[in-house]
Amino acid sequence: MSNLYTLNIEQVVNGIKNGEFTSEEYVSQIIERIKRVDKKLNSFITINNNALVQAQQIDKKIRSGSAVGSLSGIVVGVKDNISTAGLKTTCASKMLSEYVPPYDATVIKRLKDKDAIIIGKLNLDEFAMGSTTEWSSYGLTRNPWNLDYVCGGSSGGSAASVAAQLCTASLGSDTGGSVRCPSSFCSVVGFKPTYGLVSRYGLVSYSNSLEQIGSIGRTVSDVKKIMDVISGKDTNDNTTIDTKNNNINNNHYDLEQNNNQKIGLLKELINGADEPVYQCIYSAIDKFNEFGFTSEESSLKSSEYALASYYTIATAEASSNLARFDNIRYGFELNPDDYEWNTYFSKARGNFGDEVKRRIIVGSFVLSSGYYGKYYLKAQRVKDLIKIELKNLFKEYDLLLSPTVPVLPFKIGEKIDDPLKMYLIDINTVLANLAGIPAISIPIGFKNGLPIGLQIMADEFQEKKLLNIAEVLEKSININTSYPDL
Amino acid sequence: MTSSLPVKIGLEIHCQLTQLNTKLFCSCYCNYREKEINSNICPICIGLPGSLPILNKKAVEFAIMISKALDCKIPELTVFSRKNYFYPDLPKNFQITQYDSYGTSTSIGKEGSVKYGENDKIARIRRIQLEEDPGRLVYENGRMQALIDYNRAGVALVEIVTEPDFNDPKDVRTFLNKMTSILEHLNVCNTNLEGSLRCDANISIGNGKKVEIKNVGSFSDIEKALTYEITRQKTMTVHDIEIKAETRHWDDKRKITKQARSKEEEEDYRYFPEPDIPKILLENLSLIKTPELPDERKFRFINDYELSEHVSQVLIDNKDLADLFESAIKIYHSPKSISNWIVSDILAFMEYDSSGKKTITDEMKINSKHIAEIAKLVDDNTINRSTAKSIISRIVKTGELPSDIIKKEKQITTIINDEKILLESIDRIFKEEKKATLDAKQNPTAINFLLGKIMRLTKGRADPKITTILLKKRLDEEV
Amino acid sequence: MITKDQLKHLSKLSKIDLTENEFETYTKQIEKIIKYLDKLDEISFEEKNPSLVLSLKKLSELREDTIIEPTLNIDQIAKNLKDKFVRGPVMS
Repeated sequence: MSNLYTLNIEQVVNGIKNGEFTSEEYVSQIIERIKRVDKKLNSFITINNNALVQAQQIDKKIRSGSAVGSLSGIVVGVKDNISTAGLKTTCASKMLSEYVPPYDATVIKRLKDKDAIIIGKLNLDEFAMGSTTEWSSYGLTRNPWNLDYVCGGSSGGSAASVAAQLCTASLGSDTGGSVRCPSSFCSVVGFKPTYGLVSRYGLVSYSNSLEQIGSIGRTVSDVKKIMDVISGKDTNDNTTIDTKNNNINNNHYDLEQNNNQKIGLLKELINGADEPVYQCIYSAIDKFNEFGFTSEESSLKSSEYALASYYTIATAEASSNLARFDNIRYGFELNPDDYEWNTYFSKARGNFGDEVKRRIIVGSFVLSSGYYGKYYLKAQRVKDLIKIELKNLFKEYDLLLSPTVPVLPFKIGEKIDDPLKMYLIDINTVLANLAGIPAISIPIGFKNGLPIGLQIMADEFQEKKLLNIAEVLEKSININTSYPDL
Repeated sequence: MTSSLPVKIGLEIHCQLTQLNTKLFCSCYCNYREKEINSNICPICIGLPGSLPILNKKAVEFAIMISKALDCKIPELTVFSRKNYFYPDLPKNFQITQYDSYGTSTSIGKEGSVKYGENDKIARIRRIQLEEDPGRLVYENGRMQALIDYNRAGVALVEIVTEPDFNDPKDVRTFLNKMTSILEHLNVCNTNLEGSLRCDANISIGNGKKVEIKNVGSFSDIEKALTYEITRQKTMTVHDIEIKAETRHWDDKRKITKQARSKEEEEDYRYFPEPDIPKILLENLSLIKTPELPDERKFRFINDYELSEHVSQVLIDNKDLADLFESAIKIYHSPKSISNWIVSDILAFMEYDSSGKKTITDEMKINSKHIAEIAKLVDDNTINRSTAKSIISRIVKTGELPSDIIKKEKQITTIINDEKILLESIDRIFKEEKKATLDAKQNPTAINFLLGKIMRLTKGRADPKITTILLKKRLDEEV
Repeated sequence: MITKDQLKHLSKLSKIDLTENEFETYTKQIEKIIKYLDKLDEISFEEKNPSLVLSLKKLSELREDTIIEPTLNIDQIAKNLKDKFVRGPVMS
């Protein structure tokens, strides 16, 4: 069988189980495609050389009649800031260019337990700081729909590889929109769970009170299947929460019963978008209304301060989380023998990229003596306010809608010289991180061949509702019938 | 003029919770001391990217016990924070602690007090907090090249900060001994272990700038360091030299304090709440029982066993002895005599440990059974006191039971109370010590000299009471 | 207003070496960013002390004090070792 790379999760798992093709065949085709296509995109940093052997082991298990996991045989790409034992984890940074973790992140363990195969590590903005993957020390990743355009970030490799069908699904991390933004730019589905639903053990921290590991797939159904496996309380992460009553396992959502679903349209966010974007949003909303949903305009007053709050908190936490990179225990080759320690640390850390350095410095500033109250403390208060306002909105609405990103994907290099302009891309996505609520981006159209994404948010722990409704909306729009020809 | 300058001293005590099994945020061994270099590590305590701290429940319970023992207020919620600074012994280049410079007081205890000393002086406790120990830096062969061992990184510490209520280094010493006793009785820290209990001090005179004294090895050194520092500051004041707010290290060789190196530069620690550790709801605190505290135990010794204040204090100050006492009286209920034996004789054999406290070492083979037997043998008049003393010194080395020793060495241990034998010894001494005998006839107190001679002659076996009676009788007889 | 001196202080605090060129560029960029963050001044709050940490855990839900035998080998992590110690730089 050829073109196995176009299959979704269910098709791969069943196809292998039913003997239509082997796991080894599937993985071989994927690897061959990656070799052929990825030189155009640069979405992978490292390929797992062991993948074929792991595929053979799955085939062996199946032949011998042993049970295999619910994801057996699928290939998952993993953002390179999630620890994989024995496989280099660089965070796209010179500071970790030679780091091989001795342990697996919890999410990786859970995927492996279900017999998924980790195909490789995916490109990102260095330490997940960025919105276009242009800040990677391994070079940028290109948008599969138009190679001159950015693919979004920071999980650019995760989105591009899924859109280019180089893996069945992928994992990313989302601190301020880093799963949803590239998903929107690459016309795939990207999901960020409620804070505390997925273990961060093994995720290299950028901003620990805001980030979550999420998944990217070509359909909502695929994303659901990944989330189902990786979610759940973990004793290795004290911030994970017991969610026995909130498991994401999908029961098929009955269309007949959705008459009472009310959708809030966040006007500040929709009106703040470029014209082609909000046009597309409105056509999508029309289609939803045809399906029986009620939608009306709603307002989130505190959204004006969200971005300032986000960048204050995120940079502050980053400045502390990245302090451990002093090159003494892990990093790159630089013998400390003749260096005085302050000099050694400062010299080694000079190897961070520009964006990372800027954020560390801003972060140190907002925490520093005399500024802590004005910035960090205030930002936390705004965060609380946004959470409360959204909670109140969710009393009235089942879901809230907005464009994922206010702009169309733009040309490579267009915003790289203006950090603040770059930050404004996150203006819609940071809300969900600040409030700790689940959010998804689904593709809803194109303009001039460039993808547009719709963001849907639900109240915390309403994953089930969000994903089920998103699946219905996805079907009602029915956008992705083809993928970029690479 | 300088003597009128008020001295203010405050203390910062760091107590390792050595009695835990694991570290504060991971499940590696708490007891790192005997372990091979860098063998007691995991992703968490060595600060690998992606690792997360997992708080130890028992550490929190120990900290609560300490807070209760020091009469502190315990909050409803306790929160951790990050202290950000760079140093090669700090795996994450921040320390997880509980101090929040912004004043939200969520450390595990605050506003307590401790009574100490003979006059029940009071030292107020400002706050108590949990935090993690860094790794250890060792220097290579006289070069200043750092070699780092992470075995200790992440071990649980409780920091106890006092108000500047002390003005005499001697009081500081007494207070620290009291703290040691409390921590020992709580069974949260084995203070005999090296580095388990450390103390830094802040000192200012005449409301001048505060000087921090660090790097003091033992509690006796703290007294020395503070005494030196007071003199230094007073001298400077007299000469109108400004005292700088700085950190100074105690140089034990030269017995002075000297300016510290750049680590202690005025640092901006950029404290903020630790995002990886949730708020901890401290509920059902009444279920956390504190073991008997030294003051309570002392009270019980005085009231229930009628021991003197002095003897009780000595026992309490050295928990090993108090424990020895209580197990010995279970075997032979004679609190007064057993306590005296312990305080007057056993104490002499104990050695000083690294914190300057006396302790029963592993080499001392004496236990409660030995002491109970000794006390009973003397009370029954089977052996006399001086024999008992010499047996004790033998027991400490060999661990033999007193009853066994007596069996083996009958001739040298049994008390001579046979009047005939005693009179023989008396007559012999009268012959040898004619002058003294004449003295004794005039001066009754001179009898002691003769008694001493008789004790020597009988190798300590003569019964002193009977011998004295016989001596007097004999002296009266001889006219 | 972020001055070059402030930037020098911050780079020292963060232990990051910056080139002269970087000082020039970053000063302007960071100033713009901080100015945007000043937006937070536009909003004010009444209560004094916010709850800054997300989740809540009961004392009883914390980790038991049970040892897990350490299996991590220092060779797996640090390259510069001497007699099992991790080699550090020179202390001043």
